[in-house]
Amino acid sequence: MLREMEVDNNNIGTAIQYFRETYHISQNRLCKGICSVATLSRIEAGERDVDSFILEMLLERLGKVANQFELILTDFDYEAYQYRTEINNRIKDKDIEAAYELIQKYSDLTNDKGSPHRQFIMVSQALLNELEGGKPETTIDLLMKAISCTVPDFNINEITDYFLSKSEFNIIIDILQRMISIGMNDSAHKVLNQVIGYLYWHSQMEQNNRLYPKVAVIAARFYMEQKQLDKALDICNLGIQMHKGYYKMESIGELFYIKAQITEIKLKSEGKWKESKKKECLKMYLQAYYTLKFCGDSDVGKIKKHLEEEYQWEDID
Amino acid sequence: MGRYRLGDIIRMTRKSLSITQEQLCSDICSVETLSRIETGRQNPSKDVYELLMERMGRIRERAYSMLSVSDFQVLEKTRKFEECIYVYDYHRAEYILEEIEKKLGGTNLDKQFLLRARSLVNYRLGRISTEEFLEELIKAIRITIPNYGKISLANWPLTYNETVLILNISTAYSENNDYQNSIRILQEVYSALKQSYIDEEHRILMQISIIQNMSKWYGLLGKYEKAIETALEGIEICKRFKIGNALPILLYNYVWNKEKLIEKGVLSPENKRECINYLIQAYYIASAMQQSYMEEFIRSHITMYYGVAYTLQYII
Repeated sequence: MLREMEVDNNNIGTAIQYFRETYHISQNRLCKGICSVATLSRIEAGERDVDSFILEMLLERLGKVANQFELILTDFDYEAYQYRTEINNRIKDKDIEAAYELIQKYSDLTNDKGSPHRQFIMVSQALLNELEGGKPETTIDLLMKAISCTVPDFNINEITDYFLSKSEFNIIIDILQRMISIGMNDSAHKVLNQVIGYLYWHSQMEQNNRLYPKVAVIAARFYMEQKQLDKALDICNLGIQMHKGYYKMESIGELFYIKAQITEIKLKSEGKWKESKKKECLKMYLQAYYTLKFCGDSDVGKIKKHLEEEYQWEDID
Repeated sequence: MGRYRLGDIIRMTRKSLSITQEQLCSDICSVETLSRIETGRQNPSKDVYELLMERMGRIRERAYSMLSVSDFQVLEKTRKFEECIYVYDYHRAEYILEEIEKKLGGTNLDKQFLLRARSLVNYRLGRISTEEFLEELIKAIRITIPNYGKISLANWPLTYNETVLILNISTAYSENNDYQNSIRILQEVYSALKQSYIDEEHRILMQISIIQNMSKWYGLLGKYEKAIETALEGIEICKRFKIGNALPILLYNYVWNKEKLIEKGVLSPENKRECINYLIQAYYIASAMQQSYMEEFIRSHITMYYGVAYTLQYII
């Protein structure tokens, strides 16, 4: 009897059911766009013969991405996983031709085996279109198609209804960034509101707080350009607060850079540009400068120039 | 999530134990079958898999998909426990551990986790000596790797729990001033991690923390050049993956070892400029990462080593 219970508790399906019920999520809401309710029921009942990418996405939607699970892969899973890693690496190294070849192979392998695979293919194609210098509209279109694989009514309904995995969420962020870069401000604003709303509603899941800094950079920049400085500053501060204890350097340099700029503009316009306040701003600029410099960010030159002109700061090297 | 292909686990374990396919599979399956399993051309049945693993001294509980402890309801708590350890909050860690102890206990994986967690808390709260700590940890690792100490782990398919546990063992050696042993263990784990299918992000984080310790211990052994080389390797990984939590300490390790070489006259005093440059970088990055302890630590190092003039000029 004890042995049986152990096996039971040791099963990922049971875990999915447990977490789902803890968060009061219906089966339908959890698996929408990923698999049918019947499949989810079978997974929860402990059936083992399930595509590990579907399992992983379900777990991710429940906010469980940690290394707490160990998955022994079937050969299919393993091959698909290896392809994914290689495709990502090729894209990282800008080896476009090789990436397309691998995507073709991946597509042949996973043919009709579920939406997470189709989604992965489309995201890769979108990134490659961008690398090739293709039209930004095409990139956005491909990303839209990608997100629609698992979030079928994206762009029609609010996403707050969903429980999104980290990878799904990142696709939406990718869309948002590209919309802003080509001046689709109205659409961007709509998506941005949805994303911020989503993080607000789902803040009980800790992993969502890790996503906030990245969104904060986009939102704060967006509102700064729209001259809504107080709103931008609030978002910045929350972003910095949420970043505490996180190991990534991503976003934190940008957040300090934006905060420094806004604080400087505000103090100057309110006639409060005094020595002590100036020092505060200088520190924020320096936090941004050294972080972004290490990450090889393109804003570094601009910050350096500003530091020299406004603060008479000389970098030691 | 750790990802493993069944065949690889079997092959890696078998090779680490230096046994032949024939020795492993007799009375369980044919050599041809084992060979097909190891190369991934055939999936073993659950029974065959478990019998093979058992023969190699690995635990039976290792199912097709599994969690790092038997009861997923305490997974959140084990994560919180690790977080407390990470920020040196051992009293809170103990409080959480007591909660976990009420729920866990049945399986070997549970026993391993609990033994490690309990001895870690007891050691950090000064209740047991370094030797006792080390003894407990080795007892814990032998629950799932009975041959620990007799075989090299460089090709062993390590689980997440095993990896953390071995890193603890390495730290225990270092606190006994046995840096040779600490470094040897780290090298083995580093090599095992490189071939594991643990997801990239977690693998990178573990690699960085291994490198961070290695560079520190090489320095304490007086192997300054090796320490510098190691720290630079870590800094490069941080740059490639934009990881900031261990970066200030890696930059500091780099500088500390350079300073030693300057003191010994191996490097000219002109190198001090580069050191200050690295420290300023470390200071502002620590500050951006909101690590107030590191920020303060580096500020006082600059003041003590280079004089207050530098602090006043460059540190805000």
